[in-house]
Amino acid sequence: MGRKFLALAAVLFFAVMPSLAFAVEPGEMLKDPKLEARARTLSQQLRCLVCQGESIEDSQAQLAHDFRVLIRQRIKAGESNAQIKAFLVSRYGDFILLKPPFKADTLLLWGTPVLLLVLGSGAIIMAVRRRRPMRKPASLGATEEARLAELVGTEEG
Amino acid sequence: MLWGLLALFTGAAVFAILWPLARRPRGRAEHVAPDVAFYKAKLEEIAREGESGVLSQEEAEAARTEAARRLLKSADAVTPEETAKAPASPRLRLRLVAILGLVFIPAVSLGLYSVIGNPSMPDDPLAARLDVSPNKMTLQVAIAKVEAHLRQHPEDGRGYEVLVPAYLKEGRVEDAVRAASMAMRKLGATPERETVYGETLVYAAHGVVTDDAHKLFVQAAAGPTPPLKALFFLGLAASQDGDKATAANYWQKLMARLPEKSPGRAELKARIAALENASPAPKAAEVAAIAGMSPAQRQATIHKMVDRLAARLARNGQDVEGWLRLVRAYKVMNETDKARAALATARHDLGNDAKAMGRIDALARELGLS
Amino acid sequence: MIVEAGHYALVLAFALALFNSVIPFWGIRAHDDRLMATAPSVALVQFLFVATAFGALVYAHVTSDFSVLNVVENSHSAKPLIYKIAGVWGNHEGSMLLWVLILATFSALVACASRAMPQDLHAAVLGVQSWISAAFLLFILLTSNPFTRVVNPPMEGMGLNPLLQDPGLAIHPPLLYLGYVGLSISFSFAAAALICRRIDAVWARLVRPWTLLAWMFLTLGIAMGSYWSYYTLGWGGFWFWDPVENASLMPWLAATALVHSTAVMEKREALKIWTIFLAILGFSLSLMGTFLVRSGILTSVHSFAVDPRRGIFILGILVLFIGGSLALFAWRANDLKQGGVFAPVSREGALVLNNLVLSIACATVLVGTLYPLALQSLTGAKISVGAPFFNATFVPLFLPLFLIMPIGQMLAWKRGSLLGAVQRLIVACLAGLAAMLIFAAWHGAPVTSIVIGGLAVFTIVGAISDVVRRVAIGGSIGENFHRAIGLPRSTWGTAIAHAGIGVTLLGLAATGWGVEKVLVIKPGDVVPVGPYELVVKDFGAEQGPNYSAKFAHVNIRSGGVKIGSIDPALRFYPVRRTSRAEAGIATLGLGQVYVSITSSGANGTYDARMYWKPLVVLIWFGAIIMALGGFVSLSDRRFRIGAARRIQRIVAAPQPAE
Repeated sequence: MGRKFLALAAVLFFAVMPSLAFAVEPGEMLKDPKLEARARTLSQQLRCLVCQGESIEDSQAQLAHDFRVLIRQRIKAGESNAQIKAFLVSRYGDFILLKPPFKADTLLLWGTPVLLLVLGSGAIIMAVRRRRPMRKPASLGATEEARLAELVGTEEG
Repeated sequence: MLWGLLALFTGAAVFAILWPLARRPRGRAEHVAPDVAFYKAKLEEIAREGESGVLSQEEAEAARTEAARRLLKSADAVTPEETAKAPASPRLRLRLVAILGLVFIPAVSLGLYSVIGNPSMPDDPLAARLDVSPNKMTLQVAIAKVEAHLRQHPEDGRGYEVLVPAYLKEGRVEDAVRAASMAMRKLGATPERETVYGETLVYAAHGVVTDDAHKLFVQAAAGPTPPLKALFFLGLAASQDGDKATAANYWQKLMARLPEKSPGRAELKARIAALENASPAPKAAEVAAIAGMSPAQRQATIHKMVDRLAARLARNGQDVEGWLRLVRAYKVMNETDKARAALATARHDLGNDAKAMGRIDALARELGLS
Repeated sequence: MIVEAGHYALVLAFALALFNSVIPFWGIRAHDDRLMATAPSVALVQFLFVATAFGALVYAHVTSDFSVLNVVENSHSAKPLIYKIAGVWGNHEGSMLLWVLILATFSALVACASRAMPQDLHAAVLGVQSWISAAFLLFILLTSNPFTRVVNPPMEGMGLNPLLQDPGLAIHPPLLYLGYVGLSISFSFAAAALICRRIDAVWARLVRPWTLLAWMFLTLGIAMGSYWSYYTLGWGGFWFWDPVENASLMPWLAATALVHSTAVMEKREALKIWTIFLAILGFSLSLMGTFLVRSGILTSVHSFAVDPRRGIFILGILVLFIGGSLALFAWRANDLKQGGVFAPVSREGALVLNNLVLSIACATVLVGTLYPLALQSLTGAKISVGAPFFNATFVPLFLPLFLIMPIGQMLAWKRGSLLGAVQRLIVACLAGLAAMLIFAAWHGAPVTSIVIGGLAVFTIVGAISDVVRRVAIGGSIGENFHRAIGLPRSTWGTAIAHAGIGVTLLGLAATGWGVEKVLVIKPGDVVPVGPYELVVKDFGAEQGPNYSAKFAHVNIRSGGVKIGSIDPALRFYPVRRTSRAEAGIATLGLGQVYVSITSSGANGTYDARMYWKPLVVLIWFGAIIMALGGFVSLSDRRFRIGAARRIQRIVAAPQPAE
């Protein structure tokens, strides 16, 4: 059973116990720098499914490597970024996108900043409109000045 | 001694309550003092900023008026009669709180401590435990002493050599690996040391002869009289590779050199016999094929492999390694429910084997499934 | 004996916390000074007991007392002393004890400041602090007790993970905790102010130094954590929008907003409700961060507690404190009278805008962090929210702050002139534009880097302009110097802190000009990376105490002259069968050359990544400047307890007969 297990383990555990290979490896890279740059940008937007929130660009996992290679193959085949993303989403769901798409499920996610911006600005504008007229405070009366002198006097006198 | 200290602590805690109760409180004037001080300081600050030109004269005047009003308001919060005398606390209330402190603090702390504490257990620092007479020394203490010695004299290779079998006896395989490698480095490589190092690596890999270990055994066996163990492990490596002929060859060589009465002969014979019946292992090509698959295909292949393993364990559950692998596999595949179910079945099947149960439990903890 | 004494001291601290949770409030209600006076005395003694308990645990770790489970699980007799000590808080139980120790320390500091505070407020603050202490002490004692004993102690511990023996890990958590827990003081002040109905400028001045202190520690803690991941992860990433990082960013944003809104409240008695709310929010976010990390609910790389019992307990604490304080807030908010009024264009107005932006940014991070969890538990749908989301939302929200910042500094309180402010910033504007031109000529694309770099220079110069315009108003150099010395320290602090965040922004902008080479290297290769040439001399191997390493010896050349060398290494830990890259980093000026090697290829080659990261040091240097600004502000005479005391003594002195 020994090495048989090793084979199984190797396949199973690539995900968690990788050989050390961060991010894109020299062997994976495309010759054309423009296409390679596209691949890098795409990779940064896709989640490595077996890692904790890392993009496949940053991840060391074998799975991320496979995805990087896959993306480059499809780029070479002439697919657009949108096509590649659509293909991956169709297979792995929205989970693979680090920037979730805007739809009913994520309405609140994308809407919150906008909503708060509107509400907050609104509240401030309302407050400014309703603000009491700013008056110069009436000067201190004689009695007040006297009390004040009495209180502060100890330091000055 | 301990109880004396605990009593002292409790006393200090109670004192912290009783002391302020017994002191004369501050006067009422002090209640507003911080507010008054604040606005006074603010007036000073405004005056300073006015002088230095940070504030324009108009700004300074307006700010002064505002601050002065607030100063007057806070100063007037206390009437002159109140200023002098401190209000007395009702005696009954003070007594009540004092008694509360005297009773509540010890009751809660001693009550809780008696449930969760271990007052009878002394400290047990390592240095003191190592300081025992040699005839009372357990293996553990002996190991610890050698370790301490090595920390002082890291160049002493013999120390590492002594430790290897001791570690193995204690089940500390990883430490054994380290010690064996150190011994080899400090004292130089010999066939014996290479074999020992390789052996520890095999144990660390849960019985698999890894490539590193294999290399060591090959080196060790290069001489005219290879160490017996090296032969054994070379045979094991070949059998794990599915190379029955080579395995049998090594083990036959070993058999020839084993003394007649050696207890190992019977086992070795059984192993040679088992070679004939073993199922073929996956070829390197097969492994490579899996690695080269697309993620989806690989997923399917892995599922198949895992299912096969599960089926085998369902027939015969007396295989710790198998269970550990299965649980791990499910976990990696994110099938937590199946992993839990497998754990439960494994516990049921292996119920009589305490050691196996320990490993199962350890894995469950490691994977967060317990 | 020492261990058990420490254990008992912890139990005793809990009993005292319970006592202090009730009696001071009775004193406040009954206007009984003596009952209120128990609060500081009990808080001080409680601190001593928590410190005793912590000391006992440190002692157990240092002496390798393996009869303590926590020592067995997290220590090892062979660890260097410094890591034996750092190991005390490198685990769940110990880190919670450190949390409570810091809480008790802050309480004790507040207790010592009794003379500067109105007594009822003082007692109430300590009372609220005691609620928090009691809750967390109970949590420790019941679910995470570091003093659990082992009947048959083993001879050796299990805590020799080499990856955890890192100075960064020794310092980072305590710094962050000082920040998290420091915000508890602001929280307690807010709750106490609501209870005592003392929500005024005095309160704001009293709470401000504590908030500043917490903010400084948070700033340093976050920067430290970021640098740690930068040099350990092997490819130079420093911020990942990881939930655990977000959990520290959110309190920082809230604390930043709070520091600014208390300034308004102190000066002008405005924004009272909002400030109180922020103080509650800041600590609530800290608690939530603790919950997220401790419960393991996110199973992120950082979390190491995987015990649902603990998670539920902390969740209970979270609900109790956030819910309770918000209820108190709702109940008392109507009491609040409107404070000073101000024109929209004024220092206050700018600070309101600052608060709006910071709180929306904070809410964005909060939603982004929790949304996937909430969505999955509600609908089962799994989504990911990662860096691209935050880059698309947080960054555009946050950037305008850098425009507001210098303008706000130039505006007068109450009513300012926007035109005047812009005129005063003419130098800063020109500097920003000039910087953009220089960056464009020097580095070129990307445009975002040029724009953000210009913005950063504008912020830095703008922050300094504020000091200059107050100081350089004519006269001799000597007079100017005196004016500079005489300027309120808080003005200096503001300028320094604002310049600091500008410096950080500049460092961030410069990431766009970084150069990256991913390639296969062999000895003799000469690789141009940015302005330097990296010469791969040779490869070597070495044996560490518990790893074997392969390394590359790389020389750095500039114009043909060798100016440095680095040895990026690939370490392999045979026992754990894990590899780890040790990046080779050389700081040249304000930039860094960063090289890491990964897997070895055929024929003695290595896969390598080589970077030139211009101005990268500024990212963390800016954070240190920010913290320095906080420190300078903290030294302002208004906050010095001594000063308050001196004035107070004068007040307390009998008035001269008239």
